[in-house]
Amino acid sequence: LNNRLLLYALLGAIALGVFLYLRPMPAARQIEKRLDALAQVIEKNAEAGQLSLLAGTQRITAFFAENARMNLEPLYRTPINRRELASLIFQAQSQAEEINISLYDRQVTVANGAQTATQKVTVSGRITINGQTETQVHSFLLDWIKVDREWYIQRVEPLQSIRAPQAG
Amino acid sequence: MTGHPSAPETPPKSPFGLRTLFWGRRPGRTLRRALIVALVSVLLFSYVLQPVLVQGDSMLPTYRNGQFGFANLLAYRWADPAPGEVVVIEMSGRKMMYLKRVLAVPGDEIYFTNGTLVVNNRPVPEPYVVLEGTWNTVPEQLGPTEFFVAGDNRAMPVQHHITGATDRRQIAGRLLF
Repeated sequence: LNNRLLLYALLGAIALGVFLYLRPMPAARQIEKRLDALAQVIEKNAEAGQLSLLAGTQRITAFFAENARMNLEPLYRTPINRRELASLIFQAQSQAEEINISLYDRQVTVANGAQTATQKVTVSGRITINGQTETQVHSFLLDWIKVDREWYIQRVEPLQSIRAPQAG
Repeated sequence: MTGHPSAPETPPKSPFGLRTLFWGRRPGRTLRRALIVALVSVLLFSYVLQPVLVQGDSMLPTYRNGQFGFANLLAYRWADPAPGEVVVIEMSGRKMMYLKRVLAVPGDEIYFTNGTLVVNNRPVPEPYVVLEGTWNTVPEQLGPTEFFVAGDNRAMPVQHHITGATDRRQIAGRLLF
């Protein structure tokens, strides 16, 4: 009986340790939810109408700080601001029958007394245009800033683990 | 007149009922075994053998979209990747990784000319390349921790193919099959 109790106590302690280790900090959880909400706005299903898309893409700017700069290489060559990003997404949504976004390997590091944060994320986007589906997978580094209890993306940079060679 | 009081008839208990089949004859021992198997599985498939589901066509025809395999995450703990090996490369983590073949190692000079791989000024035969292309790149000397990787499908333009130099730290393991 003692051995059994010891085993259960050990397993309980391991489970508690794993739970405490994996439990995100409140600020990190807020950022995760914010990114999930942004991904949802970018997604498009077959039934979505133009009006709802337009309203959705206007909401996109609300996820970014006013002076936010996004470097989306290799998807887009020059850095863009939040309005240009919203416009690009609206164009993509208008052309596509379906857009699905999946987020992987999110790692949030909160700093400055939970006023700023950086996040690594891998984004898999599946877009269907004229029945043809294409999947693009890219990793990004996001800088977040907290203003009036809300988190905003301030900077987006590509996270490239493979450096492309120069074409000859 | 003698006799026994008649006992109510009960069906004989099967030694292999559903409950026995599920929990075994000693449920405590079964539970312990299940926990140990679960723990070993979590450790094995998190730190040693990572299940891999191939997405995309960049490794055609060697690996097809939807193909399943395992990556050995300990393969490069005590050794470096070698040319010809197929490796998994971390992006922002290990849930989504690149699957590429190592073509050159630190210190090598590498380039493609009209689809032919040239390493240290010698053309390298690539029997795994079936879908050939006409890639042309500028010669590049790899740094002390850099490995050059590419997919086997060279039919797609080099600009649309994720290929190039990656740091040793990004290489998470070797594909087993």
